[in-house]
Amino acid sequence: MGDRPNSSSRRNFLRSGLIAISTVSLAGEAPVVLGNPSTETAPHFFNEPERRFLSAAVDCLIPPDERWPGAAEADVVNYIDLQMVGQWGKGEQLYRHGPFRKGTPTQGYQLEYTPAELFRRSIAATNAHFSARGTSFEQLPPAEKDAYLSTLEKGGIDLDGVPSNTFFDFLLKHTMEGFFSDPIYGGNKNKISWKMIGFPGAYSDYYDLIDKHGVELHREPLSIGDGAASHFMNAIRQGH
Amino acid sequence: MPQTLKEVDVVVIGVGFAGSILAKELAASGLKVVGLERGHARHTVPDFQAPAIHDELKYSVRKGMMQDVTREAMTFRNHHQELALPMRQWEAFLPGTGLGGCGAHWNGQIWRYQIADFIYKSHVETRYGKKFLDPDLRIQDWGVTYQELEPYYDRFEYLCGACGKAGNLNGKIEQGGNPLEAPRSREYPNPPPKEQYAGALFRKAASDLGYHPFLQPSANMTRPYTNPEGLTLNPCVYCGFCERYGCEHFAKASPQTVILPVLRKYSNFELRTESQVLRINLDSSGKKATGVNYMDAQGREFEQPASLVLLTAFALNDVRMLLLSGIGQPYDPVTEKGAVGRNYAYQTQSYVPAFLKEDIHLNSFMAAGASGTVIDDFSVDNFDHTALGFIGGCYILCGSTNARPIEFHPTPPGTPRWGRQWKDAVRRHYNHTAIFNLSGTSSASRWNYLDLDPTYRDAWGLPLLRMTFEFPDNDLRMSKYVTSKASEIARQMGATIVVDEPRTGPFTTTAYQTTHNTGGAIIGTDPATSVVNRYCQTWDVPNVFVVGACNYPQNSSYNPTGTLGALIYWTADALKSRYLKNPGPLV
Amino acid sequence: MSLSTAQSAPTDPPPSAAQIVAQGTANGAIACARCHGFDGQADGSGAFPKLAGQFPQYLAKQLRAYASGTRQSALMQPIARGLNAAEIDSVAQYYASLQPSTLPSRPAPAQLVARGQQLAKVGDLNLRVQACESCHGPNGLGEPPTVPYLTGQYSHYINAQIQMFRRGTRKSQQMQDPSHALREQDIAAVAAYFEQASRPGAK
Repeated sequence: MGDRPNSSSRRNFLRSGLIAISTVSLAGEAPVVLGNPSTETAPHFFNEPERRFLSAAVDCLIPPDERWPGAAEADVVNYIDLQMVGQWGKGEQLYRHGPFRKGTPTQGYQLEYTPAELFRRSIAATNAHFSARGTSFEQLPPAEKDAYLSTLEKGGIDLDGVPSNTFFDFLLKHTMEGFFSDPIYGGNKNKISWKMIGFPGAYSDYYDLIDKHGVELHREPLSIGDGAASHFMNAIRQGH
Repeated sequence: MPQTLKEVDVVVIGVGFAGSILAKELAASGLKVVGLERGHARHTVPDFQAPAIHDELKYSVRKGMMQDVTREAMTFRNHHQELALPMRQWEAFLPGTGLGGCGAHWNGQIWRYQIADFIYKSHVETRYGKKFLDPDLRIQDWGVTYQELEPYYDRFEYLCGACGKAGNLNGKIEQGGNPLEAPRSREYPNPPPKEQYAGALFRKAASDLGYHPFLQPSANMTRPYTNPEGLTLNPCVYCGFCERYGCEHFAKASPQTVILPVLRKYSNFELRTESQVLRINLDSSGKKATGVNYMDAQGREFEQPASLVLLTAFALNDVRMLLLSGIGQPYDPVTEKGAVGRNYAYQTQSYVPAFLKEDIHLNSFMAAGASGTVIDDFSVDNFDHTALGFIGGCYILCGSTNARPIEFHPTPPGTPRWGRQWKDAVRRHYNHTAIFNLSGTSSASRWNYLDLDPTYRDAWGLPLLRMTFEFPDNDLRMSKYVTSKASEIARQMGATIVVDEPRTGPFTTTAYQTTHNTGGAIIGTDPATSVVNRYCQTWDVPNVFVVGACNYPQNSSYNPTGTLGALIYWTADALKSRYLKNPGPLV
Repeated sequence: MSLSTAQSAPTDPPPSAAQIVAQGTANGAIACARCHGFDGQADGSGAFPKLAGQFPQYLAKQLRAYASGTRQSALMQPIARGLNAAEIDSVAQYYASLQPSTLPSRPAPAQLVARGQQLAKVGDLNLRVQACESCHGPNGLGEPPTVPYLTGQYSHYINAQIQMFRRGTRKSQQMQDPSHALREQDIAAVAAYFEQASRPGAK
């Protein structure tokens, strides 16, 4: 469904019906993340060893294939990086009063770590595990990387206070978010996941289409950031 | 020292659907009314405008419109003997906040309950005998009947511009509607929604199996509509960002679209937002409320005296407020004494994913919140349970409310959670998977209840609400049966893979199910086992009324909001025609 | 016509489309170019809309609506009736394949455009009108295949269409309330804004 970006054929122009937008992102303007720092891919939270681990790990979770990029090329690491310096990463969207106790699985997350702390601890423990063996996660052959992640996923390993399955689930959750969320958050680069599955995005008037059962909708997905509306809305919200 | 403000006639705690409508009815009667809303004011323009509102990460994943869990969470345990711990983030259910409450971001699934629901205990005992029920179940009759509430259902549906086709018009069964519904006195104000492809496939399969499919009644407008309050709503465009989101088009019935602009015009109504009510104050007798204390955004505390207090802060918050204020006796499941917090119930949800062939493009992202084709054949007591050994049932709905990709990327069982196979499966199945949604009765049980937590506190230092809940075994048996019926329909639809997935225990707070939390301040005829009388007036403090799904003694198969609308107008009537004329206990 | 543009988009417009655009048909359709131009930019008066780059399914639907009378126009009805189904699809594809407007828009008062932008991107709570762009797309680029672009369209034409929705002479469930809610000055404002709204990457 849908072509890869950067195809410059005239046929592609005509397919989309949205000639200008399909191949040209808004005149080189960087999408604005509402209320968040710039989505330029300069690092904000993770250091180099952490980024290397993450790039390799997310590409195991959502690997590239012949037609479609994987999580790393979709800028998922950038997404997670930005999330960690935002409200969510800093724990400002969690109830963080103690006492902290171990609960039942039905009681959900009970650790005292913020998401940023959880990532930092877990990645540090993982990286330490490999550097003690004179290697690193990202240097492993693909099958061994997958095997290691499966081991984390099963649980039973303590990553400096974080159960490995808790870390794995966190990593998977953030990878999915980074892959599928609106590109204004720094991931889902070029709306690649939306093109892959055929999700049209943030502009969605289907009044005349919903009862055309089975119609195949081929059009370039649209992001919140596509109309410079995000600048405008942000300005409105801030009372400018 | 709290500053004491000038007395008013009425304080309304929480300005959602119940608070807005009651405030308007009383302001229109000439009373001085103050509405205290703990959250922010928010309006269709600019707060709900697209494309900014169509932000799945912000609103679905990070729960942008919901109660601020950092300041006011809840604690949870499955069983009475366990230690309750905080829900540190919302997942299973999402309490709202802010002007308009949950009404600003609900799906718009607007249902009526069955006649049997209001006399559920009597009905079950009559039909199946007194020994039929599991011993721990505590279902009760309401003390008000469907027939008494019918005109008020009608009023709420016309307020909201409900879109549907009558199935039972004064006893006459009509084509195109739900033949199993309770009788209604007139047609819906608007026609039913457009049918989705998945719904059309379901319709055929369900009909082939002898069931009675119809389009789910909806509060997402199907055409331009001007309601009896003079407010105009636009048609819904099936944008696929309904539940958890405000509506940019003025198309979803919400307090913002159907009542608030009218309410705000009354000079004798005052709205105060960012006003956190801390407690309802009682006089020395403990039988009369003198008003409320609340804190504003600057941390200043005020005492607002009032003659009448309406508690309309959402089911869970209502129960907590009663407990914090010392109104009524807290329920103790061991002794079964006390009524505040008893009969907490939920909604027994299950899902049946039906994976279809690749040439069927469902376009599930084209959806309104109440989109779907549904059968009522297995709801409540619409079928004979004699040989089945459980009570209750589910409606079976097929259609989508969305296909937002972070939350929705289904893969068949056996697919790994990640990796190449996962990715291939997501691509293969994203636009070719129909999800059946089963919404089931939730039986009240002795051991499911709400009270105050002994350890954890909110940002104002007050105890959090503690929820003790596990699915009663009856409801799990019910879910297994009805889910298997749904799976048959899915196979009839030609699904290549059908996942028969009934609800099983334990109840977990870690996965979303529904925000249909009911009970805890239930309506009834006996003060020993209920908190409010049939007019939603508390037995203990006659000038405190509580109106919310907390009033429901147990939950039916259906979404609670339609019935709440009936209860709101019923209570408004009782206040205007009975209470205000002669304040005091109405029963 | 399939709603999937994929299978029906030619690399060049079929010869019959160019002929109809230049000469009309024997069945009473006058040449499209006489009013809409060969380049789809129309004649600058605003009486006739720009068609260049409009979505083919939308154009075809409008022609069918003119033919049936669902959309009223004494001028367009005989033209639309002079085209058979294949010819409708063909001319729709022709205009859809053209580069959209690159002409500079006529100057409009800055305040009017600002008000139009406000309505387009935010709406107006007191008027109970939502942002135009929630359906008409970023900067009015439309939502293919069904919601037409407004970007660069003649303000005079946009104004007239909204007036027709308001009067009920052009029918649309979705445009009904917004067209009534907007006041005269608001209609002028959104029209002015969209005429000068920019397409990304347009030269």
